[in-house]
Amino acid sequence: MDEVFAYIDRNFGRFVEELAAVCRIPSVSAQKKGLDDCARHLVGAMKEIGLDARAMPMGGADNPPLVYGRLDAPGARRTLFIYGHFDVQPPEPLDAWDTPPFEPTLKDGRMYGRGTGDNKGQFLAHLKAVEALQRSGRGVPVNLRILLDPQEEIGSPMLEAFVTSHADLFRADFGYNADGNAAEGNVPLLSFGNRGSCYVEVRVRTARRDVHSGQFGGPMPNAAWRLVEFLQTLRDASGRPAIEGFFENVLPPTEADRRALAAIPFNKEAWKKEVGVAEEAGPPGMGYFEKIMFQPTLSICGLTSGYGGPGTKTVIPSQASAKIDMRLVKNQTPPEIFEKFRAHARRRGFGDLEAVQLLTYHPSKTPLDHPMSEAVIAAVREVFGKEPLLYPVTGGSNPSYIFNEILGIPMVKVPYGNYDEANHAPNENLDLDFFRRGIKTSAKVICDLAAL
Amino acid sequence: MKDIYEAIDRGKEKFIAELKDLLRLPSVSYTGEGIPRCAEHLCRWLQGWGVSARVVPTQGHPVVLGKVEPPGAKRRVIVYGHYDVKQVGDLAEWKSPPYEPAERDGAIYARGAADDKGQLLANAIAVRLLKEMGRLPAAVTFVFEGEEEVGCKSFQAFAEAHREELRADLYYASDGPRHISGRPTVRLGNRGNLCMRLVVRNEIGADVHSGNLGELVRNPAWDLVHLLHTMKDPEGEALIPGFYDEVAPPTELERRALADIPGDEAEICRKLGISRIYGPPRFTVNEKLFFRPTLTIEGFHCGMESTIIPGQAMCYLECRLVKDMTPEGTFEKIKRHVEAQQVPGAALTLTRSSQANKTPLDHPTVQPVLDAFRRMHAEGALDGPLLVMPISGGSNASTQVFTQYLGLPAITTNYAQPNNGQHGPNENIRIDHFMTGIKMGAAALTALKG
Repeated sequence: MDEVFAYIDRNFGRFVEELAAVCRIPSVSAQKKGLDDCARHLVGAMKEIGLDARAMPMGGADNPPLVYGRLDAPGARRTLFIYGHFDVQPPEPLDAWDTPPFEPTLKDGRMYGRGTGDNKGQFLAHLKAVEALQRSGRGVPVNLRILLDPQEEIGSPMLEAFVTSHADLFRADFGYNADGNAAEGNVPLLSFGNRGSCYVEVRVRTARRDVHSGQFGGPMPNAAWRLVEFLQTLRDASGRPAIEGFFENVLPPTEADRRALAAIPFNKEAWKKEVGVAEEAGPPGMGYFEKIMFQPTLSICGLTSGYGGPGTKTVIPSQASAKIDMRLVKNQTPPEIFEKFRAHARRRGFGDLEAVQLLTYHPSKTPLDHPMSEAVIAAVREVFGKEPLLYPVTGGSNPSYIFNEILGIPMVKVPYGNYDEANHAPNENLDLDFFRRGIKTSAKVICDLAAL
Repeated sequence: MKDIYEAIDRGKEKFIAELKDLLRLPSVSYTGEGIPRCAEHLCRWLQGWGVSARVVPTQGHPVVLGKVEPPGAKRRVIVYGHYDVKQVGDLAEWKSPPYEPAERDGAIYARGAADDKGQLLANAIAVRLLKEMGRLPAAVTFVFEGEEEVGCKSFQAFAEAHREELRADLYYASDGPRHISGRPTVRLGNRGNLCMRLVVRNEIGADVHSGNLGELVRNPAWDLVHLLHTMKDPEGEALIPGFYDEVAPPTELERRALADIPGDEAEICRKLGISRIYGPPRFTVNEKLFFRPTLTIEGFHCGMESTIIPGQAMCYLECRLVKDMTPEGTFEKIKRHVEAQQVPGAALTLTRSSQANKTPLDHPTVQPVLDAFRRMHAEGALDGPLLVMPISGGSNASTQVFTQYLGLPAITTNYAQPNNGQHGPNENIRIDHFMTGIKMGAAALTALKG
């Protein structure tokens, strides 16, 4: 790899300029800004390094295109899928930034700007690795399928439909993704999956309209009470989900998972202080990481019924609703859990309640002992010079299930962001040393996976 | 009475114009919007036909106080109404602007049309007409309050400061809708009420991500659901220890009155658009409305924005109280119950309350008025047989001041039709009900000559 790494070092100044050029484009998906411009720019950047690239509409007049790039390497046995996203979070609040969010600024070895770390600097690392392999004479030894998502920050609403109807474009043996930031102390890590989510709104209607609580209070059913009765059935006395069959498909951690969990440092006192609680809640006899990675949850995210303004309003509400977030773990699926949720409601006498799925993510998890893991671990270990932590699952949900679970591509994620990347926050930044190591890691991963 | 009713019919256009003038003035007690101007307007209007009227300041919004002293009057009646209105809510739901009275389908639409400006004015117009005809048999003290919709906060203090001026033999008011059957309605009492705010906070007090922290931190929404669930049994009875201790069953006389009140469950379900009657089946609908206390949720709110664990959950709770239950005593019982559940960060506060009140069905001053209404029906001037309700489901803290503190028998009539949209959008009063209200006011006052 020496000639490849030397090419990267020689051209690194230009790579930084290219990153700045991408970060100058304010591609804010939540505000529907700059996404077409950014897609056009990236298609050009991909063609420049020999990829067959194009912007592809995902359907719906309001939706920006995704960027797709492919390379069919002569004689390659393996195909690698790479995921990244070129949309960014809104920059607000603007006055909290030390430098303008869309004028990338170099300071103390870092580049400051919205999108530098999340995710432009990280997917660009893959592209620059491809360039380095091509131009250093080493060559790209695998076929590449690259997808750059324009809507990751708003939940990738169009992605699943697009990918499943264009599955042939994405078939691959391995999937790789760089996103997020290293662990505390800038310890590199690998992430093998995410919890899923089944986010449901439950609506109760007990009458045509709200009525005066004095005139009708007594014989008049109250939607809020009925919702309370229903919600109470969802948990047992210890506060755990009480939906019949909720846990039946839950896979417990494997031995490899347990070893990985034991190696992740967790300072409980510091965590409690940071979050602002006196005690960690959740099922007893279970560690923090087991709870957050291997346990499904059922949380009320919101309640609304009747009057909520100032003062009082003496009405009996005819409607009430709750938003419920069920975080899912492998092998639960949103359709399975939603059906169990509805069956539970019917069984407990609440069949008249309306339940609507607002957002779903499948959980995803690649086994820690998958052959590609060893290759990626070795690459990270060598380039970063540290033993990486292995996160079997991370708490949040993201679209990687589309590739992992639906297309069946084993996915591994390595964050190329520094620990204090400040993603989603003002003064987002990317440590340029991480950028350089990210490019080298991608180059090595591409080469090593070819040999599997 | 025939000539009086005819005189009322002749004045229809003028009366409607006077009502519209009053409805054009916003008078929202919660925000204070337009209150002084509306009070001033009412005072001048009363003075305009010879009432000795003034705007009396209180600790909150003023009371418009007016006196009419016909020669030879032996008795005095308080004619009560309130000129304040509820907030208009979502303007988009109004078919015509709330402060631009509009006539549609025989009704006048505007905020306050039914609750209570239309009814207040009907009684005042009745007094004016009898006075002009030289037929007013009793002295009248008008008491028009400006804080009814916010719980009559200053009314007790006002009554204490003006006790002498409020001496009378009877309290007469018109507020609220007729019984759901549409029959002309008289109510001789009110349930009390008790409004509370229940807040549960966790230690963080701010929303956090439900993916990262779900079930790792206490969720106040679950705590609130749990707390509320401990308060009701599956049949809908309150589980607060001692909640029903002071509740007495209806007397024989009250039972007979109850029997006259329509209470067909299927009919009520159809009218309200509900699938079943709430609460234990051993009580009839009318017993539930008039002789049973309630514990209800007026509303609750928290979160609702995407995937978060809310830092706080808030709920408005309310009780309707029946005779002998005190707001303070009931509040203490509920507070003790909440505390006994040991939910950290839960706090219950009392926001407003009123005591229940009841005038006996056989009170000697009340009887002639009820008889006059029955006669009115017999003579064809009233569109249905009178319905006498021993107690009303609603609550009015000022009525309680007159009955408890000043010791007056109290009659509350309802001139507005059942579906008048009070407190909601498109509030309205049917013009025929407004006109019948003026006639009922005149009949009631005439009955006080004995």
